[in-house]
Amino acid sequence: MTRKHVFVAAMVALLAVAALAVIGRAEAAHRGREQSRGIARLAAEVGALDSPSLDSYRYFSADVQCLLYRRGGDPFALELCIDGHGRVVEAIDRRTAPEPRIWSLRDDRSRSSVRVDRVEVNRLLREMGWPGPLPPAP
Amino acid sequence: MPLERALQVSIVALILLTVLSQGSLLSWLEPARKLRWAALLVFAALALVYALVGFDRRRLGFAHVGAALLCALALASVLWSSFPTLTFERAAVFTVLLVACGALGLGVAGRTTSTRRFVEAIVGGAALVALGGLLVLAFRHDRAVQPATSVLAARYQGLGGGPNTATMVLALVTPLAAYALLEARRLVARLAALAVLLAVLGSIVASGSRGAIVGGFGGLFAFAVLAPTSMRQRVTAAAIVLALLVVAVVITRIPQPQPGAPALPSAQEEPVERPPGKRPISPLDPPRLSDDVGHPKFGVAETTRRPRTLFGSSGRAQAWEGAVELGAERPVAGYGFGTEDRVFVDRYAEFNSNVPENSYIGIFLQLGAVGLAAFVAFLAAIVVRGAAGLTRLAGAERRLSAACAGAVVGGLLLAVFQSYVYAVGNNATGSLWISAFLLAGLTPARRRPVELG
Repeated sequence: MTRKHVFVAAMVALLAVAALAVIGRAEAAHRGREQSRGIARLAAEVGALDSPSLDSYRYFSADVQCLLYRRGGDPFALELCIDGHGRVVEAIDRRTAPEPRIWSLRDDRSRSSVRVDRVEVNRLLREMGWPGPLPPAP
Repeated sequence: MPLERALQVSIVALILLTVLSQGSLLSWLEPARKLRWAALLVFAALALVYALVGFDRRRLGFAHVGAALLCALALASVLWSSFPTLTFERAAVFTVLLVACGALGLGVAGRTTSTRRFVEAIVGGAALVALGGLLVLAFRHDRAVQPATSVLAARYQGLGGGPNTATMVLALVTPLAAYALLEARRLVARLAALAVLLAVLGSIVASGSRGAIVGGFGGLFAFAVLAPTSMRQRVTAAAIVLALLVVAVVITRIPQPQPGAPALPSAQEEPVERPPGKRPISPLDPPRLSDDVGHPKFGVAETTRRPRTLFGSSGRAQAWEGAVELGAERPVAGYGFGTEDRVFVDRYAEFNSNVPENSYIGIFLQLGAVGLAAFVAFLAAIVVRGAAGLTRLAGAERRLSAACAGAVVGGLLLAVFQSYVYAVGNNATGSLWISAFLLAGLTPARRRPVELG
């Protein structure tokens, strides 16, 4: 293999990596929009966070907590998980169990375009009896 | 020669420490987790020196270029990763491992005696793992055996943190241990090699790990088919391996679950404290997120018992389907190297792991279809080239090459059941890549190379 061959091969590899980086970032953005759309649909279906159907909560981690809403006889039918910035990072619809519909940006939270009032989330969690620390509202 | 001895010791240490870092001896976990990285760095440094002594550019071949491209792809994925820092760290460690293995392959290229020493080092590391497991069984029986439950029989885990842990490296080493037995000349060496092979196979069978059984016997089958030169010998050897496999499977079915046994602590739900607030909530705990998929609707009782069967998937099929769907959301470039355990979420009622337990799906999640194609093409090409090169080899050299090919085939089969090929901290990863580069180093060019050693 001559030096010229090595140079050409290196350039081709570099271009391929650059193209892949563009594709990778575009895929991440596209996924962020798709998941946000699903999360937004479920959040719209829940309506106000303080709705009478709010029936439970989940302390997922120090940064993420979830609110669960009743539908029919299922007290846990719909679930919204909210991070410390008020971003809804996961939404679950269990009405289709055993195959629930799940939209999630747990691994890429910054791409969630669905926001709720973190102050209100904290207030609801306190009202439901959560005694531990909660993320400070932004 | 002293350098080769030092490399042998570093390989043994790497294997043993990676097993201990995920092992059954809890007090050894933390020290082993730190020491395994030191062992990797020592191995890499020694391998680089080994490659530089008598460096010949003409020995650089397909395997080195391919490995460089894999590392470049892993490192480049920082640019689109959901966790760039994590991706960089894990890709850098993966690069260190591949550089070390590539350097080792470069140093031994065409030198049968040296290659054999490193194969013996891998077998030695696995022998210590198997022996250590027996010692744990003798002195800490509770740590060596996972107790039976109402749906699972008791399973041997030995030195590993679970029945599927240490058995991974043992599965990969099975054809290499068989090779060591065939090559041993003195009676003592032959007896020692036989004891190692029996301990390795016995540990795998007692663990009931289906991935290890498939990987171990698959690798052994490849060795049996590739090593002999006559068709008759091949058929005989393959028939012996298949008969051994049948016996092994029958033995794994002997232990039975205990209907009255309590659930394992890991399967028991932790009680959630819910002090009453001014707003009433459901008195029941919400369903576990790790049980969402496959869990019946609220109010419908789960009454199906699901004992572990020979061909059952332990919930893997459900998890694989979910992981592939997740991967398909970023199908070309994936989520970034090393992000598998962050991106994959166990939502599956019948599954219990933080990774999909399939390296092919795991790499698809991390690097998309491009990464999957690159990894599979690279490892398959090494095996295919190695197998094709066997026609130009004979005697001890051929058996050695066939043993390395068997180890890689076993590793690729194991990869169907375990996420590990790219995870450097895993106990089987180092052995897989070392075997792959040793095989590449043994594979002759189309024209017969000059014997360098």
